[in-house]
Amino acid sequence: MSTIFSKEANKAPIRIVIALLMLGATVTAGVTYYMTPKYSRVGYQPIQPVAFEHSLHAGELGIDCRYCHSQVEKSGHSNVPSTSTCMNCHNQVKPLSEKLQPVRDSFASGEAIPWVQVHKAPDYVYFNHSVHVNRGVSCYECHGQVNEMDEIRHEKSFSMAFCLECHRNPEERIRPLDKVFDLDWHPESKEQQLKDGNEMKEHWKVNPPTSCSGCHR
Amino acid sequence: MNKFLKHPEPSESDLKGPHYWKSLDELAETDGFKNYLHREFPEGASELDGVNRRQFMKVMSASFAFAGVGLTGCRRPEKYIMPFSQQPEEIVHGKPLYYASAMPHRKDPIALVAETHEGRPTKLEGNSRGSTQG
Repeated sequence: MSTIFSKEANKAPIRIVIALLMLGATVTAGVTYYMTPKYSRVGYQPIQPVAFEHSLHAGELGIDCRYCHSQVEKSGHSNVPSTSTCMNCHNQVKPLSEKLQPVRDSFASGEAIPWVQVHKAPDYVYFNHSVHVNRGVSCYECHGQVNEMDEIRHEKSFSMAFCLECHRNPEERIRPLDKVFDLDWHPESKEQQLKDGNEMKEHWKVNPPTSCSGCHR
Repeated sequence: MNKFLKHPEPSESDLKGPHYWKSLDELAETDGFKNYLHREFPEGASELDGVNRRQFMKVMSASFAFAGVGLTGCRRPEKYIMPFSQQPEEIVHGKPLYYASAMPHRKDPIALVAETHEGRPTKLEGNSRGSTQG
């Protein structure tokens, strides 16, 4: 009886297994890199209707974050300023600038300026700005060095691991309350930060939730 | 025992088959008939050089498959934040706003507190600071 398969075919099963393992490893590596917020979100910098420069307003001119984002300390939701806030200054400063035409149009017509949303917590996550800001979590920890950005950019990943990193060890991040809106402030040293952080954590009874229902509620 | 069957060599007409003409134009091989033969298939059909149908199907099916898995649906939708043009007083996003109100009643009006979220009333309850409570 003649052989249907050559002797080479004996190696086929092991070859198939090796190929499947390699495929599996490639897919796993690809998904863990490309399908995470770190890849898909960081660096997102859409074109805004008005090229608002944080580096100029918050950096060079030193306007406090809360001049525009005025409700961040009072509410869970940090507001994007109304057009009237812009016009407080811009009816005097550069009142004829072409770049500011959408702002003046909005102020005159009452229509909103459609700012493109950059930072977004998913609907299944509860996030409250005021509790963080009032307990020494700086804007910097989540939004990055905003006072050096031209147009606003997605700086940190906003993944769950990113949140948990700080929720598990808040003493590494929390800072004195008068430095929360000072984006250029950095702790003197790691040891100093831990010492002060632990003190503040104890004093303020900071006890961030690490259970699922703390945020997914 | 070898047995070879000796076939006669096929003649030229056997290889080509009998040739019948179907029209006088074909027999005469006129220019018009040659042109008609050339144009039997749709325009451009005889102009595909170097590409055959199988190759075309392979490439196109592969590219359609890649279009399917190529994360075409994974673009982030663009959402807009629409702040007020003129900021109204007292409104803080994410915080309820309470109004004192009253409901007519047969003797006295009943004092009420109305809770509103983003301009929509969500709850009415008696105002404990009013003279008559609901």
